[in-house]
Amino acid sequence: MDINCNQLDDLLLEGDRFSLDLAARHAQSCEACRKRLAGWNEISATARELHATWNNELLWPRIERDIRTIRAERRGTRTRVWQIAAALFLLAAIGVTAWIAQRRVHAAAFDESILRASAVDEVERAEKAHIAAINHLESLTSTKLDQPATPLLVSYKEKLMMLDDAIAECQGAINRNRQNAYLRTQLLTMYSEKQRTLQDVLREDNNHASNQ
Amino acid sequence: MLRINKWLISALLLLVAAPAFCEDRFERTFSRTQSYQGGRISIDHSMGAVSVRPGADNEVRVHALIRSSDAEIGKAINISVSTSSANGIAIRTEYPEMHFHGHSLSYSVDIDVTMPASAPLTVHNRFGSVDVAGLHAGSEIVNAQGPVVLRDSRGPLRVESSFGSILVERSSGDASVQNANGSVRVANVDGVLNVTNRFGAVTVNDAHSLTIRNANGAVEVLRVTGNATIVNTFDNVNIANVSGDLDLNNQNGRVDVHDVKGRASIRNTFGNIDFANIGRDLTVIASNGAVEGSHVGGGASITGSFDTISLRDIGGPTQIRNSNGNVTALDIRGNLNIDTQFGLARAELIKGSLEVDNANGGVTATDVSGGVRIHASFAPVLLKTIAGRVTVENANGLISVSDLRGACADINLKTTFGSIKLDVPRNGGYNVDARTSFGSITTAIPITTTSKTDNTLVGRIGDGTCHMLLQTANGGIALE
Repeated sequence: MDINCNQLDDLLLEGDRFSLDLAARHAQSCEACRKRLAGWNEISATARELHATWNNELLWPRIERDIRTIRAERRGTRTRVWQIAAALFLLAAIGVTAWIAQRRVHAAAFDESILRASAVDEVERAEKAHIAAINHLESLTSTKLDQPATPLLVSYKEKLMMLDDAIAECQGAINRNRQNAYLRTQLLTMYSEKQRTLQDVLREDNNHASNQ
Repeated sequence: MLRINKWLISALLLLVAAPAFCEDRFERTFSRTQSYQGGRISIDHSMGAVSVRPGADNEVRVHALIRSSDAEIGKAINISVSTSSANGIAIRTEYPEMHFHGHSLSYSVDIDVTMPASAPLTVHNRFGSVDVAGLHAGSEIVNAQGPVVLRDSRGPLRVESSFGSILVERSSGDASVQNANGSVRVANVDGVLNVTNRFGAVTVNDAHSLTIRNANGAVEVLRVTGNATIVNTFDNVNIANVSGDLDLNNQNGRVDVHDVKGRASIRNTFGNIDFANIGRDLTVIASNGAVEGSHVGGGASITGSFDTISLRDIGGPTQIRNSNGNVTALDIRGNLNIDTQFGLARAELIKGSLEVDNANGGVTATDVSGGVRIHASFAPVLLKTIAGRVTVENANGLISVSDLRGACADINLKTTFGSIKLDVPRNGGYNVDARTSFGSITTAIPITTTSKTDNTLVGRIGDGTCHMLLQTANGGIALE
């Protein structure tokens, strides 16, 4: 295959055996190309002489380690971001939970002072049950208490009168302060006490010996 | 990230939802601080709790928590704190007029006061509790329809409540506690303690000079340094460890008294009396209740009716009056006098003389170191191991006397419609005069006979220094 001088550089740059043989054949017939080829061969020989190799066993492990470190750092940065996000979320969750708990405790404390409407309804049902029981007991004991025949019955009558006064006072306060938990508890306590006292009066029915 | 977003949204929803708990709930606090310049701190409160604590400085701090179902009312509730002066500081809760509001309006105010411990205090409260602690000057607490708790106080103390319990602990001054229809519990009061109650239990531990007046409530007292006076009705009374004298008057309840170092006077009706370890003299008046007790250091005077009386280990002269009940007296270290009827009189181990007057009841006496005089009717008289003179007058009952311990003491036994049986001491010397209307006279011991018929025996046993008169109608006489 024939080539011209302009194609010589391309063949040299190709660098394979066929190109180099073709360039050498052309250089035999062209003085200028023979010089250019000799210069190329000289540079190539010098370059071959300049080429150096060394055997360092730590190089690749270090490179590998560095790469791993870099990867780990990248991964670590990503993990830290997630961790911070999770911590912030946890903190927020704890804060919210604590706040809700505090609010609930606070609400419960409030409920202990001021009853909710539903609780008042429940209390009023209990009061009605007490009042019904008391009315029944009063009807059973009225004869005995109207004219108490023993000192103990006189004492019970006095206690019942005291309780009635206190119940009226408490009821008056409740009329102005309906959901006040203390008043409701106090009233229920006094109703219970009155009910118990009336039951005691009933039990004294035939126990005259102890009061004569 | 998507998951986190979901959580955050949930949390935010909760945050938004939380205020829903607080609907129709108004709450605010009130705080005021005044320098204490002397005088009394007075608190006039209602519809809530009052708490008073001592502070470390000379300031009076008032903190109030106002709650209401209506914001307008909540804001209108006023805590008035007067300007500090030498006369003291007045704290007062003022509620607005409520007539223009709905039926379900509600409110309460809790007050906390911190004040100098040395300042005197007055608290008046209604419809709420009162809790006071650590004050060192006089305190007066009056509460209506609420409990009172007072701890660690000094100085005179007056506590009054109704329809609420009272608890007083560790008070070093005189204390007056009054309640109606509520329990009273007092512990560790160094001064004179007066407790008055109606319709509630009274419990006192570790007190000095105690007086309790209660009605219709149980009384329990443990450890009193000094005297104790207790009046109660219609419930039980338990007293233990009184270093001074005890004066107890109860009705219609059981009485239990233990370990009184001084004198004890116990009156009770319609309830049993139990006592033990009374250091000095004991007086018991009981009706319609049994009396049982032991270990009295001094003498004892016991009066009862319609139930049994049982005594043991009495250290001095003892007098027992009973009717319609048995009487038992064991180990009496002094003269014993029993006056009873319609019951058995039983006396054992008497280190002194014995005198029994029993109507319609038998008499048994064993181991008496002094003389014995018995007057009985319609029941037997059985005497054993008597060291002194024996005189028995019985009607319609036999007489048996055995194991006489003294060498010689006069014996005078009279009965009607009953036999007489006498174990004559072996070394005794008697002038014997035995008579019966319908019965025989037998003797198992040698008698120097002066005269003898079917119904009489006159003679001498031994040297005849003591008199032996045995007389019955419708019964035999046996000398053994």
